[in-house]
Amino acid sequence: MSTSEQSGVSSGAERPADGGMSCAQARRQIERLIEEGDLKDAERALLMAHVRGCPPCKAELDNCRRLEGRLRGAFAALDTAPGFNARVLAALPGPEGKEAPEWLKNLLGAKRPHPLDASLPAPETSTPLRRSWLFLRRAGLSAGIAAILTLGLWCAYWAYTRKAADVAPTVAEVKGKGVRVNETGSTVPLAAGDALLRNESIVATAETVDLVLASKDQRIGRLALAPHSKLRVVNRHSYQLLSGAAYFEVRKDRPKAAADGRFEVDAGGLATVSVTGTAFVIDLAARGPGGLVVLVQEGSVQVQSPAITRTSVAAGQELTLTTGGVSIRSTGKTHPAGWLAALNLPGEKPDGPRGVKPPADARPPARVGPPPPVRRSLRWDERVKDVVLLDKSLGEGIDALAEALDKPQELLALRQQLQGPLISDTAALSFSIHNEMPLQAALRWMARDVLARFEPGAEGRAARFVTSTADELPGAPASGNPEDVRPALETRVPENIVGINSLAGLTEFLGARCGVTIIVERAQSAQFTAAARDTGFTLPGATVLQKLDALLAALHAGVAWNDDALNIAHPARIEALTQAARRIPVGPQLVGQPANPLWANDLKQILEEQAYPASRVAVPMPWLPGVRLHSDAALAGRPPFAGLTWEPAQPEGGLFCCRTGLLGEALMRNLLAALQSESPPVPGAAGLLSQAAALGPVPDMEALIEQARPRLRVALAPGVQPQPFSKHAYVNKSLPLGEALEWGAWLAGCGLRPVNNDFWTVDDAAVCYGPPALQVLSLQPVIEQRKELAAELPRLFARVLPDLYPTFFANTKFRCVGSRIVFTGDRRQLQLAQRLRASWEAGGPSTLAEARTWKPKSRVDVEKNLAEPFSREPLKLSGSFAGLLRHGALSSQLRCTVLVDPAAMREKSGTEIKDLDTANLSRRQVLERLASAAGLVMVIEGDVVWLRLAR
Amino acid sequence: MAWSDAELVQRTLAGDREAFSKLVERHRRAVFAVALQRGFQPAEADDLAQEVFVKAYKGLGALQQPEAFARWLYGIAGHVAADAARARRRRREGVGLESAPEVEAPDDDLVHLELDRDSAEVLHALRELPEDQRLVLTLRYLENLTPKEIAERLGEPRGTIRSRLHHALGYLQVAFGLKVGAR
Repeated sequence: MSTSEQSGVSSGAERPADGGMSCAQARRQIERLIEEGDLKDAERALLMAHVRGCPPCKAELDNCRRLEGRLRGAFAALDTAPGFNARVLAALPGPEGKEAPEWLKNLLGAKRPHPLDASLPAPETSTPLRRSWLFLRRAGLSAGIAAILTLGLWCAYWAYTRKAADVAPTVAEVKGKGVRVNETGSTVPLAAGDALLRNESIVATAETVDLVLASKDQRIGRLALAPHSKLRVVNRHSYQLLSGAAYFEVRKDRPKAAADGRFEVDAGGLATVSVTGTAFVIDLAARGPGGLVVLVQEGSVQVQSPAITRTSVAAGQELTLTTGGVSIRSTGKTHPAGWLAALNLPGEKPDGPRGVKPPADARPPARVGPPPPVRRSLRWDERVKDVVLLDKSLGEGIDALAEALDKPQELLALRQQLQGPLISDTAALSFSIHNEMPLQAALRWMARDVLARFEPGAEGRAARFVTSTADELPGAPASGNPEDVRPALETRVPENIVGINSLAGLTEFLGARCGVTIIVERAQSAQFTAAARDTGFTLPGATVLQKLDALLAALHAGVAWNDDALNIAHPARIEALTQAARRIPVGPQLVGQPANPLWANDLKQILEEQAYPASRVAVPMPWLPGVRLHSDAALAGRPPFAGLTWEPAQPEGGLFCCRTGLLGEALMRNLLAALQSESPPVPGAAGLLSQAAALGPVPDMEALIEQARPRLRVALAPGVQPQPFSKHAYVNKSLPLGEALEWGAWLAGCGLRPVNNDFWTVDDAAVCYGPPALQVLSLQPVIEQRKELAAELPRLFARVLPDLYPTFFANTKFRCVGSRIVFTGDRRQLQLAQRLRASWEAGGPSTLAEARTWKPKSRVDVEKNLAEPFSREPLKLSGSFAGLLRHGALSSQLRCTVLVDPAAMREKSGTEIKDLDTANLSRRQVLERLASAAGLVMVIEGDVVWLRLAR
Repeated sequence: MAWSDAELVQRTLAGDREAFSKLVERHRRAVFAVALQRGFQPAEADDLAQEVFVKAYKGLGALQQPEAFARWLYGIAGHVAADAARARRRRREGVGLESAPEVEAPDDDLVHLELDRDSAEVLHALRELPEDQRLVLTLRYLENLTPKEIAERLGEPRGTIRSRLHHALGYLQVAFGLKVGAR
């Protein structure tokens, strides 16, 4: 398990009680070992000790080595064919027509700075030949003749020095007790006659060590180390002062060019001091950590560091390099430290124990040229990229950033701050930086990742991390949709990724592949980790985009581009982070052209009635097509659009303006798209089985299915067992078979749906017709036939539908958007609306007046039948409700099917009714009074009369 | 002491072809590997590598920073290989199977490189890597350069080089099914 996924922000693997290496440390060392090729002896020993006792880490190391072996083997075979160099040289163009090289131009009088002039910076690069020409110009000799002479002389000298360069200098004399430390770490006392070999170190412990160096019995220089100083021999000409201070005396005729073995000293990694024949001091201790002093006794030196251009320091000058800057001052050739007093340096008397004597005309330290910073000032908007942070602690992450930015002081100070009590430095980060982002954004993310907050600092206060709770975590508002992220996410990835077993590893893999930083917000880590584990940490998809979509679906999460990273978090959080003013266009198809304010108003009302869905839905994200946003229980029921307004915008229709998040915007776009196309038709059995059904009592659904079977394969779905229609709750008087089947299913609380072209099933109503959803019905086919009614037709239709089906469309709000009827309902309701439209197409109202009262013929017949007087002689009916309902006196007069809610029938069938007077009543009134006496309500739904319990 | 790239460039500009030969010798394998990793056969990659060096020689005078020679050269190699790949695609698309010319047998002296199946698999996997990661990996294992040396050669921060190497190795571990254990 990733260290970042254990208990949120807690540290990784436990540190062993004996202080040895933890698995997390071991993994990092293995990485270093593979990347660098080796480790320091002590580090290697610790790693091997851990690996010996840790099978997973051993397996990791073995696998890394196996991979290395394969890579080396593959690359070893790669080489050009024999004779490649010769072929290339043969293909090169000849020298004719080539421009004269720079050195010849210089010879003919081009002005260039003289390298031996200590007051000017030396040229950046120079060849031995170039130096010769420049030397000539200073001498003022004729260029042509002098060139030849000097070249000859110089070549001889060059050859000599090159040859001499290979011989290690020896210690001719030694004063003071020093030691030599060889490559294996063993030490031997320094003695006359010792050779100073490459990579050996000279160490002065308690006293000054003063050496005279010789080569081929010739004195070539002097080297003195202050007490507690250490110097490493890089080669004959190059030394590295590791600590303390050292004095160098270099013979004047030593080579002056780097290529020829110019004498150089690396001063503690801070600067390189190169010598042109002089005596000088380098002191690393005089100005504290990060500082050095170069004092020149004779001749001059050149000092170069990353922060300053190559600077010459002449005799009697002292260069000081600190974190605050660089300065040069005249010292009057006095010694800066007492240890040098004992060295009897040439030409100077020791000044006494106190060190520097300020010159008589003391001035403030002079600067050479513009004041370059040793460490440049950090800007928080500097950009970083490709920084590995995964599984590093916050402190190690800052170290990685510092390395990428040349170790600015501000980051070093921030690192120090982590050692305080408030922020633990042991939390492990769960991501790496792949795309370019401002440093401040990187630090904010790192802070969030360990449930802290980064404050960049204001005047008088340094940048710092502070503790925070998850609720307080600052989320920068979503920073738009960067154009380059989408193409990057199209990067192809292997369909099957094996070997990844953590969420952080998964997002790291995807991010590294496409160069986009992907961060899963830490607050929901445990929940997200569990969800990702359920997928086995594998995702379908051939591109990062597809895998991202699959990941969001698995985590049921949202995503936004937030603070220069792809932020995966809880949908409610993403929605909160991405709240912004949005303008979403609406085409003329919905609002007309020019825009009809009534239609726009209806559309606005539809949007205002919307809420974040209660059930889990995924909507396509406009910014990242192919990636779906998910809704959230925390959002369910809340209105998504705040401050919704309509703005006409010709000729394209208009704009809806509101404040909402990414999910809200996606929902609105989804909704508007849905409104532009009609809901698909809902097939029904009524259209397939138009023949007459058996008339009379219907005992149960099986009886209806039996009737239908010769013509249509219908069966009850497994597990569906509708109750019988007992006590004559269902007596078919008029319905064709298809409708009878549908009403029977409805009465039983079921529905009817096609399984394939010739097989239907009676199943649970919710399964057949789905949950309530936005349904769109276009009346355009009807309007095409009755253009004069176009403006009113949709509203009239919306009035007729609930009139015909009062129970089905109770409390249903209809909106008219252009030629469309829009309502929220299930597919059975849509089916009824579609049937009504079909009947209007076939022979609906032709005038406005007709439209206001139009009903299908079958309904008209039912109402007509019910409106007629109860034809028998006035009776006073007494008996049970069920008995009276099916009494011949009433039943024989009714030509419509009367359905009784089965539950109502069970409850009320035995209700005793006394003396129901039928005098002067219509059939409908008799039915109504009968129902009322039993505590039931009568409605006409479509072509049937339905008696149900009052609600 | 070995000449630096910058010094060899300067000497080449001064007319020293031997200096350029040293540059070729130093970088030829890496340039060859760049071409090979674009999917070219060894003989084609060899030709492309030659073309890269000739182009580099001709354009050497325009190189503003001689110390950035390596990075500049690898950039040329990438462009040359990409151009050649495009030209190859166009030839394939424009030529119907029935009119495709016969493939010439390669010269014997260029059939020197026989990649075994494992090496071919490794090279194939390398093609999946982003170009900057592929280059760093090539310099690491072709020329055994450390991240510090690669950083110096390419003029990039060491941390960036290590990061690219880290991700490249991580991807290859997964690609070869060598990833084990938890992070």
